[in-house]
Amino acid sequence: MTPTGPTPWYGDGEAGTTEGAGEGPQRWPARAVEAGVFASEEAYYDALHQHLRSRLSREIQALSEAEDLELLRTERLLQAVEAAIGDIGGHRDALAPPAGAEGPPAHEIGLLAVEELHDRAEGLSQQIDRLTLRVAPNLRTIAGPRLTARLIEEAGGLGRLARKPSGTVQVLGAENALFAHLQGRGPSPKHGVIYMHPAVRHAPNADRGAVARMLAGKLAIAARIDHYRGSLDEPFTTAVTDRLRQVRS
Amino acid sequence: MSDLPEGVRRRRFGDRERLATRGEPVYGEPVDAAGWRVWDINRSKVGALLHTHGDPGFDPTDRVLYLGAATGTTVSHLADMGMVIYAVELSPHVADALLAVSASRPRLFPIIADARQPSRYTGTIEGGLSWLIQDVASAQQVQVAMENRRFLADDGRAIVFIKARSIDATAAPASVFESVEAELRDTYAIIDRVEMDRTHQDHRAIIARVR
Repeated sequence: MTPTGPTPWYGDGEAGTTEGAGEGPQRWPARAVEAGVFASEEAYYDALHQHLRSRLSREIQALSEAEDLELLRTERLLQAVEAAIGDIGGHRDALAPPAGAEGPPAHEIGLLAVEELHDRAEGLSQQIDRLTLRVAPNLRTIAGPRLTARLIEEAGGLGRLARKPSGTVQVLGAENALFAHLQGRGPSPKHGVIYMHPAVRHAPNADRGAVARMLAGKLAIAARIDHYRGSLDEPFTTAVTDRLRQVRS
Repeated sequence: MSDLPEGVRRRRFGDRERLATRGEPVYGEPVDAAGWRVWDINRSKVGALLHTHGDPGFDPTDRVLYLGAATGTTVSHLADMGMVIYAVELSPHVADALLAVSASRPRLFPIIADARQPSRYTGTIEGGLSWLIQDVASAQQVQVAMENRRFLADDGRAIVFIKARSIDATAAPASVFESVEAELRDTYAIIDRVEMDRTHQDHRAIIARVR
């Protein structure tokens, strides 16, 4: 056996990743049986299959965790861009063309900047669209890409959102009102960011709390399916979207 | 060369004879009553090669290193034939598809790794293999084929699908193929070349033997 060669995946070293510069691979099945690690080559292959498949599962897990953080960051960036667009719009008077000045007037530069920011926002929206499809297909079907991103951003990740009770999901983003209420100032908030959902926004004032409560319950379930199962549950999302359509009419 | 390798048949599906292997369906392909599932030659270059060119000499006891497994369509059919397949793919985004196709195939080994760095998987993939099958869309396709030579037995063979547009999108495919073959000759002796244009534009399959 070559002491400087690569370490086999079943060995003590870091499995399967050891660099054996210049060294050729070995006939691992035969070697492993010879060394008494496995009873037969069949047993070797069975163990390798299991080993590689569980490694793949871990890689998938790590990947989807990274993606939900990417979604969260994209949403924050988009919010910042939107705030900047609003800021510049709010200074329209200050950017009015100065009388008799040379070069491009400030308001034209302002317009260009806004245009560029709109392009950025468009790109980020598309990214949110793609990421939500992968990260949270159930939430996305019920709430749309943007609200899905908002909820995950407010909760600090899909895993955290999935662990929140529906009552918390209902008032996510309305923390100021909630804590004011808890200190005896003001009424309890009916909704937080889920106000963005048309079913809530368009509900008559008297029903709005009830619709928000129902939607929050469904979103909490959707978040759990997305986090713990990861695939689209069509019977569930269809039932929810039907229910929301009934509420609206 | 015989027509088709063991484990692959032409079966009637609808009004057409199509290539098929026996195994769990993986991508919604048609399956007949006897359990044969269609090997879609438009989705699989190895399938297209078998269909148009015939058997390159596959045997059910062969052990294969497949680089560029993507979502695992082709490797699933090769595994159905009984071969041991090490399926290497760079993109982790297809990992779930590979996990699914390997579930019912105990000798299909999925590995997410960069084929340009074979030393990363020398501890996992055995040496002395019968085939290297390579379908990677990279400008460094030739280097990948040479670097992974180390896994082949001395009488091992390689099927390298060359995608002209990945190597040089501006040059004429014919001149790209020519320079690729010249480079490959350091390591491999070329047995045959098959134009894949009928199903895969600007692709050529190079069948070679270890030099």
